[in-house]
Amino acid sequence: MSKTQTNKIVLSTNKLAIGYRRKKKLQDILKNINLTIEEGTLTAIIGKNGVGKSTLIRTLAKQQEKNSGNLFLNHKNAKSYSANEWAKEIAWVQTDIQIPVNLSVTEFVSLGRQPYTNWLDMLSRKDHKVITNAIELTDITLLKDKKCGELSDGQLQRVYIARALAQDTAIIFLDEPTTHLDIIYKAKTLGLLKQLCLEKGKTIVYTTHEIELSLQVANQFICVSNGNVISETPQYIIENNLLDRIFENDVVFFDKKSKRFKAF
Amino acid sequence: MKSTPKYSIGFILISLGIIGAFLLNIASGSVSISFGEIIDSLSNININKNNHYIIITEYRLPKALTALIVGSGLGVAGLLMQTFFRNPLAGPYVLGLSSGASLGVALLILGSSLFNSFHFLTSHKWSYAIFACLGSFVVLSGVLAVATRVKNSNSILIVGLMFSSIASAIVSILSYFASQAELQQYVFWGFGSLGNLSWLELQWLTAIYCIGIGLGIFSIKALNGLLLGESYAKSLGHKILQNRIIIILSTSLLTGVITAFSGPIAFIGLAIPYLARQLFSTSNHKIIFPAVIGIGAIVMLLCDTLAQFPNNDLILPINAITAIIGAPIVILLLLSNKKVM
Repeated sequence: MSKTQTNKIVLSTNKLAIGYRRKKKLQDILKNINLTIEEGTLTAIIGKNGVGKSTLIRTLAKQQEKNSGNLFLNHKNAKSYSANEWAKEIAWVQTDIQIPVNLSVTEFVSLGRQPYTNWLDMLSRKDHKVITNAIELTDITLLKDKKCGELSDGQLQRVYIARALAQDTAIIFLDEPTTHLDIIYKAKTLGLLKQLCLEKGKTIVYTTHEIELSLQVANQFICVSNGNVISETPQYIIENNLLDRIFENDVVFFDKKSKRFKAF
Repeated sequence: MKSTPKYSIGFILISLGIIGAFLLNIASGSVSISFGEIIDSLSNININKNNHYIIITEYRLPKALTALIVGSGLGVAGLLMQTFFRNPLAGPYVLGLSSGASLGVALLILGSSLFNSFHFLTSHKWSYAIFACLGSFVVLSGVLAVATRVKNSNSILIVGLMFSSIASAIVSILSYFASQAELQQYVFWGFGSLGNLSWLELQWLTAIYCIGIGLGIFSIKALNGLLLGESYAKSLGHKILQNRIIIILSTSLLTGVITAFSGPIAFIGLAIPYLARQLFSTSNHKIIFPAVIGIGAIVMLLCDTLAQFPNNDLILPINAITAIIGAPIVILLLLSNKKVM
């Protein structure tokens, strides 16, 4: 991305520290995180297993409490948003859930409207329209009357994304959207995310181990390693051999030319 | 939506089922009463206040209404627990809520000799309800406290089992010190019975039941959110803690008050939500919640009819009947090995 064109910053952090609370003591996994995420961009969070990618994305989405520092959404402190206001700004997708097998795809996607519905969860005409749009956009119209239990992992992934779209938020966070998918569905899923950024102006952040494909679609990489969090463009990462530093090991290395990992 | 007519037929069948089971329940009993007389008595026409009229209005009608409340109330309590703990095997009995309620009642009946101050309370059925609600609330809070620390939903069942063993153990200790009369009173209460309620008691039961169901209806939206797990519910703007409290309150009130008035009744809370999900093949609470109420009422009315031998004084303990019907359903559920949430 050329730095001359500056987009609106939608999400940013200032000296953010994340981690856990163990026996009433805060334990930082990562600290002093300063990030900015621009509107309409696709951002991949990468790093080795267990470095805190999930904790980072969960904290950014306010799924878990931060330890210290600040998180800003639209230049307003995240704390100032109520649960419901936040739900209208940020959608969350995680795939390691117990699937409600008896729920139809339409019912599942409709749950995305909950921040907007009344206490009885009645869907208005507008709600129905948004749901239909989300289903069409993710290309699952043929599945809409099926039960979630009948779908493959790849199809389910699209249903999860449709539900997030139905929530009609500016930002979507996805924790490991490419896990358990075959290469075709991985590409399809990332392609869909890219399409949503370009065509719908969504800001999307996801954690992944699918680096090679992500290098082709993402605008920005947030790299987590050795307690450091850096944010760079894919080009910069490739040219400066950052991937070999992030995934420091003696089994695979990143080949600049082919933009692929190679073993031995 | 396309699927609406299918559900409408289901609900029409359930409504007819409730009416049928209700009349059948009233028609059965130690004294044989003709169908015409039942309709006359219920609709208050042709009032000749003979014995049959009194049997129907003072005994059978409150009993049938109790069955309706007990079946639907325990069904709803089970549904709330199953969604809340995301485990199709959860229910007020399995999670030890019924044991907690029993412990409350046991403290009251059996403990009155140990703690003399309780004595003035034992004469009121009303105090049973308070103690039972407290008992189930304490156990549910305990289960919940552990459940938030262990992520595996199967261990929640084990925790429930442990809590109910502790409750039973305390009941045993109390029984050991109790007098024979107290023991007998407790044992009879433990068999479960739907027929001992006066109209006044039934009014109290209905009032608490309505509060419990009302809180349940209020949670329907959150319950649907919780189907996707707590993270999703949170991301949809639900206040997890607040919903948790409402669901716990609803479940403890329903289980507590029903157990107090009718004894600990097994399997209804577990089996009814399962049946409803199978029959309507959805887990959307907007559909399944009313379905559970209807099916719970029908099943309980039928169980109570079965417990009552026709033209005979013999009445089997209702708890035994629900277990005999419910246990095979649970086994079926385990064997089918199909995820049913």
